[in-house]
Order: sequence, then C-alpha cells, then structure tokens
Amino acid sequence: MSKKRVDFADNVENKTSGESSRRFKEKHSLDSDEEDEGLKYDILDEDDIEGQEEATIDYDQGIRITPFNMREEMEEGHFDKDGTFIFEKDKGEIRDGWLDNIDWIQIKEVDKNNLDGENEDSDDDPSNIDLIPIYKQMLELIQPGETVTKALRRLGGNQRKQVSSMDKWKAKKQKVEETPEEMLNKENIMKLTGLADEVLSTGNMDVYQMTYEKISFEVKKSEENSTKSKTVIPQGTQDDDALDMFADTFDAREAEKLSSAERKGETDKDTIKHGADGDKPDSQKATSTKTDTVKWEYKWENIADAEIHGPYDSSQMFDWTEDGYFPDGVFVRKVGSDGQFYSSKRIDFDLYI
Amino acid sequence: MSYMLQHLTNGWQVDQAIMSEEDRVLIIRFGHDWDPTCMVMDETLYKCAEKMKNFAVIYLVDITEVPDFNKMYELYDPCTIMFFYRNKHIMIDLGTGNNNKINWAMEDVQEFIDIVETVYRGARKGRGLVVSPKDYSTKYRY
Repeated sequence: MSKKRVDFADNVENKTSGESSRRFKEKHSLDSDEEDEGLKYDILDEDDIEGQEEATIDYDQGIRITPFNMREEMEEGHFDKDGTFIFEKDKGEIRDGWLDNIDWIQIKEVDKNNLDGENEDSDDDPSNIDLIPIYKQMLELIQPGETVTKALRRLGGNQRKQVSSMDKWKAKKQKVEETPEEMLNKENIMKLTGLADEVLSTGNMDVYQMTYEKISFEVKKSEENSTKSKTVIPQGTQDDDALDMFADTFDAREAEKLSSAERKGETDKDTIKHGADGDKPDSQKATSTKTDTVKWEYKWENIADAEIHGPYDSSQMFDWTEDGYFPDGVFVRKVGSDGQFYSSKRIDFDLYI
Repeated sequence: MSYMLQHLTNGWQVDQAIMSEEDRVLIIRFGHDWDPTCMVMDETLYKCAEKMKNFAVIYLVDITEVPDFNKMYELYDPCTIMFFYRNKHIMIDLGTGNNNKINWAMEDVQEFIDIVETVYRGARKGRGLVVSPKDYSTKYRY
C-alpha cells in the first residue's frame, strides 16, 4: 500500500518538474525577475549611436586597433534607450538537439527503479560485514609493529632482490623452481591483499596504514563488546559483584592516571558509593567502563555543603549543556578527583566523550 | 620512582623535542632555574610529572642559555609555560587575555593537571585552542 502511494507522489513530482522546465521560459515563473525582452524598454537602434566609425587599420606597429564602434558589442546584446547594455543570455547558449529530445520523465522513472534495486541489494549485503574474522586472518600475516603496507613489502622482498634483468633471465634459463618459501610468501601476499581489499570495500580507506597493534586493538575491542553485551556473569558470583569488578578496573585506570597509589583505595570506595547513589541502569554503567571514560558530578552552588549530583558520563553532561539545562553553569568535577569544582561553562564536555 | 625534569640546553634540542614527541603533550617551561617564580612552578611541575607521564612530557629551558625562542614566543616573563602537540603550539583560553602561555607560577597541582589534560584531549581532537577549566582573570590581574 505504501509502495503505491510513493509511486503516485513520484509521478506528480515528475510531471511538475517536466512542466516547470517549460514554464521557466514564460513570464511569472521563478525566473520572472530576469529581464523580459523588448517589453519593458525600447531598444536603441544602432544607427542612433553617434560618433561611430568604420574600422580603419587592424594593427599599428604590432598593436591591435579596435575600431571605434559598437558592432562587436551589439552581437552579444543591445542597448535600451537609456544606454544600459542588455546582455542576451540565450544567444550564446549551445543548443543540443540530443539533449532537447530526452524524455526526462522516463529517465527519472528508470532512475527510481534502479535506486530501489540498489537499496535492496545493499540491504542484503550490508557494509558492516563482520570485520573481526578478516582482521584476525590479517593479524596472522602481519608482524607486530608493521602496517599492512609494510607487511606486503616484507613479503614481496624476496622478488625485489632479483631486480636486474640479467638475474631474471638467468633464473628463467635455468628454470629454477621457486623455493617453497617464495611460494608461500606469494600466497600470503595474495591473501593479505585480498583481505585488505575486503576491509577496503566496507569503507575503511585507511586499512593499508593500519598497524598490527591497531588491528589487534579493534579485535580486542569487539570481543570485549560482545562479551559485555551478553553480560557474562561468572557462576558463583553475585550480579553486583561482577559489575563492581568492572567499576574497579575503571577506577584503577583512572586512579593510575590521576592519583597516587595510596589515594586509589579512597576513590574506589567513593565511586562505588556514588554509583550506588546514582539511579543509572546497569547496562549504561557497563558500557562506560570501556576505555578512559570520564564521569562527572555537579552541584548547583559552589559551596562546600551543596548537594552533589551524579555521577553522569560526559555525553550526558554534554547533552545537558547543549540543551541549555545549565543556563548559568553548574559546578562540576570529575568523579575520582578530589580537586575543586569548575564552572561547567568552561568545560568542553565534547572533549571527554 | 623519582622523576627528574629534563633541561634542554640548545635550540636544536628544543626543536627536536617538539617535533619528535608523537602522542603526548609537550610542556616547556621557559625561564631561569634560580628565579623564585620558576622555582614555585618547577615544584608543581615536578609533582605532576609522574602522574602525567602517560599524556604529557615536561622540559625546562633556560632563556638565557637558549635565547632562540625569546623573540618568537615573546618570552619576557620570569616564567612561561607553553604547550605543544605534534609540532603544533596549542593555545589555552585562561581568561587572562593571553591564550599563548601561562606566564605565572601555578601552585595547585591538580589544577595544572586538569589544564594539561584539557590540552591533551583538545589537541588529540584537533583543536588548536582549548579552554582551561578555571578562569584566571580575576585572581591574576595585572
């Protein structure tokens, strides 16, 4: 049903667009502010222009002499009685018989069909195909510290040695069989190029610059995500314990960066307490533990015993400030830092997302 | 673990330091070791160096020994802190009107770490100018 309606709307649109191309030539169209010819003003006759003279000589000592008349200008347009030059736009336009004969309505219909077909295709074959198996295969071929390009160069290195045509010729003459190692390298090159090409086709244009570390990080990240989404909770432990474990690793990372080892214990306790206070759903808590996520707490007034709200993650704070919930700013600080509260007006939460 | 602040003793070293640091913020303190303002600042730098080692590295430059940058960076103050990231000078809106540098001694370690972290996060996202968490306009008026 909806399909039919779409078709109907398209037809209407096509018709109007087909008509509009004709309508543009008439008055009161969208282009009606352009000059209408010969109606609003009187055309100045060429004979009325005084002081013109015929061409005398073309060149004077190598310098071209333009005759003192308006003939050239008159070819491109004309003057009205007030002396304003009106350029005739249509005159210079290139007419193309083939272009004029195109039935645009038909073409648009075909286009639409094509596009629909393509959309269906792309639905069948989504661009976010699972990259992880590909990455894993690539990791087997790349050595730590190498980019894909470097790995290809290394694998191709053996052939590079035989640059001179003499060597090649010798090799050919002796019909030296390729060593199994070379065969393997060649195979690997093909495999790696194929894999990289697959990644490339998903829209990741930097795949050849990706390092071993970067690829393994991607693999690790997705593995972490998948385990997290399943929320695997080991047997024999409480749900809360499992989540606290996440919180611990998060805090450990934060603490490592910001505070000394002895302070760590305190902040751990703090954040766990705050976490219990906050009414955040558990899933959100789990996702925020991914990398070095920063959480914020805020208070409305910068006085010691003002009520502290939070913790909230950076994107939440960013959205709130963007939506104008804090018109006069609130006082924020990072969870885990016992530093002072800063005005949220000076904090760019976007940086922490 | 003790962590000494490293001096750069000529222009080439400073250039190399700025250019070779790939993924950390480069903090350079321009001044004199004997200057009281610098002494306060160096103390703060020393305290936070270890904590910031993952995202920042600190160097000290004596502006008498290495006068190469005095004109370019307008180093007229007793103590100047400048931030660089991947060979690019990062500006900070401190509220003082001078976004190029910190030209006073900071005593609060956490405050300084917060500024450096903002610089680091901003620079990593391609910002050339970041806003310091605290506005220093009222406290340090010239």
